[in-house]
Amino acid sequence: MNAKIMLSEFRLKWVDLFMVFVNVPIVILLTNINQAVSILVSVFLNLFYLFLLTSNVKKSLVLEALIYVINLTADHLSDIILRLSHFNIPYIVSFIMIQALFMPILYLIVRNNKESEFENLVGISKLETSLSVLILIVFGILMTFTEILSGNKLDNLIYNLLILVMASLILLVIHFSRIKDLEKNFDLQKKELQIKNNNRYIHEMEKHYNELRKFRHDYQNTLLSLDEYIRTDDIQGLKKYYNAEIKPISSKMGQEKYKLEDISKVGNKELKSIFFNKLYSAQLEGINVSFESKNEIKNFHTDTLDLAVAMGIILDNAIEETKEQDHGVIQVGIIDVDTEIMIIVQNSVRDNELPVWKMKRAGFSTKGASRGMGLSNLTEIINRNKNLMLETMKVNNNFLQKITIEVGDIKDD
Amino acid sequence: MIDIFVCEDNYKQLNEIVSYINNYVLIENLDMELKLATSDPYRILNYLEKNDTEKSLYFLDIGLSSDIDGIELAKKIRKNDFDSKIVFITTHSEMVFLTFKYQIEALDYILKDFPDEIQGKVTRAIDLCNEQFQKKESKSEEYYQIKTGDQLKSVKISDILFFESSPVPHKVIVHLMNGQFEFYNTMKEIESENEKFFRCHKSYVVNVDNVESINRQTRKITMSDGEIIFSSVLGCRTLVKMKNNN
Repeated sequence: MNAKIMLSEFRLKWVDLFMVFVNVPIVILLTNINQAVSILVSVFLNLFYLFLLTSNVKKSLVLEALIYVINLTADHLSDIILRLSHFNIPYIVSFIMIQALFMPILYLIVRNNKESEFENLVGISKLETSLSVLILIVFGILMTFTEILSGNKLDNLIYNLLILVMASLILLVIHFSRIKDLEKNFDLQKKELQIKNNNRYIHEMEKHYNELRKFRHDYQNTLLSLDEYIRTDDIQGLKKYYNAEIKPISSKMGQEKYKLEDISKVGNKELKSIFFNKLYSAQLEGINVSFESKNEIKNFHTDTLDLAVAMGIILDNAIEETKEQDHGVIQVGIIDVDTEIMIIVQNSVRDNELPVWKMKRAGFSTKGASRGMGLSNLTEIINRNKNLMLETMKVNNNFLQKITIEVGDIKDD
Repeated sequence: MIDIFVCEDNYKQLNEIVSYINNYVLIENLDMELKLATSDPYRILNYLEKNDTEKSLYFLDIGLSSDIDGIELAKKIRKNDFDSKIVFITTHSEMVFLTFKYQIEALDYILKDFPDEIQGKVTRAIDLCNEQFQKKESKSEEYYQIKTGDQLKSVKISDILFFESSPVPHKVIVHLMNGQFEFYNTMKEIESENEKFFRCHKSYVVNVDNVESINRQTRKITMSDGEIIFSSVLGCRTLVKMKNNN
């Protein structure tokens, strides 16, 4: 039960049946024969069950250690309470009651952690795994020995409980300090990345600026030579010069190098950075990209970090799809009207008959589950921000994702 | 009769486009007429205020020497004349493709950077415009109108598969043959808006015409694009009855 709460997994699965119908009877049967053996067996069975549930060895080890510690605490507490109070309730009832008390507390803790969404990023380290295994072994031995050697004496029980609580506290302190450390590192990494991205942008801008300077130089020279042709009335020469020199320049202007310049109109650092970096890397992959925005947009009327993550997911999907095409195209545009801002990402798709709902479904992709995860994150972000709306369409071999930001509501208040 | 309007501030280009249009209309003997060719966007707006146009085609330059540009002009024309066809005349550097397509829903665009292609693009736009108006007249397709923010979207009823309620209150996701999008409405309201819409589940309103099959045991409904949604017991029974009556 506790395991399930920790995993925030509330749906029933067939492995739960295994837990109820295999693990529990075996453990109860063994308890009647030998307590130490039964504890050992139950630990292994639980481990197996957790592994089935999470399909992750490290995670199940850590979880099992936690559950074992909680069970032990509950077991000791109920033992002590029973002895001290001389109540005549069966041991098992009080044990379950205390367990039930632990559950909501556990749930609250897990939920708080989930909200920070940090656990998922960090994962479980080797240190934690080995620590949990150590705890399992040490406490296992400690409990068996004290129980076997000196029986269930009250003193022993209280000492054991004290050791248990102390150890748990120490571990908790270590854990939290480690998380804080990791968080700091994570922030630092994010800032570093941001600086790197900004530098890339500045570098690109400088390159453009230099090109512009060269262009201005060429332009002045061109005007001078035109002047010369006109002054001497050399129309034939002018024609020749126009076709040879001016026409090629004019066609060069439309080349893709300049297609991202509208990104400068995005008045938000996170978004500017995500648009530029994704589209720039797409361009390096040989994808034909363009970005357009008629007006400068300073206020996006929503959580721009969320919006940047959402755009990242959409653009990643677009790049993934188009980089395998011969002439892949990604077009991004921001359109702002009085009451809303629309961000459109359109990419070419290979000719297939797949309906949109299949493309959107989580986990659908030949490239593994990560892409599906991205799309469900996208849905989550859209639902979390009240004034965002998502549109997904497939029109004439183009896949279109559009996020609409309603600005009307917010302007009012 | 389709009225044609041209707005371009370069006289040379204006005359060029006007001559292409006139020639094509004359040669092909089309039911079209050039009503106004001007460099001043306000002349077009004035004309529209004073006259009624039934069907119209606009060729608009983006960079106008006026306080509004071609896109602003197109927006104003659209407000007045929802069904009009708009073609933009532009250069590569002014090109805002997605804005043309999704904000103005332009019919096409003509790039000035390729002077040799202008004539072909003009005649193609005229053909396309004719074709679209004819298509609209021949088919009396039923449309469902959805308001999303500033825009009014017309969706063919036959394209609508079902509506799904979103976890966010008052937000509904409409699933179409070729995509899906969100808008603000309530399931109750939607069900009452068309007789083909039926609320088969707390969070679904289906378009009965696009229900492919109903499984009464599992209470699963398969839509015509293969997507599967759930139904309530009662909804299932009513839906089977509705399908049988059709």
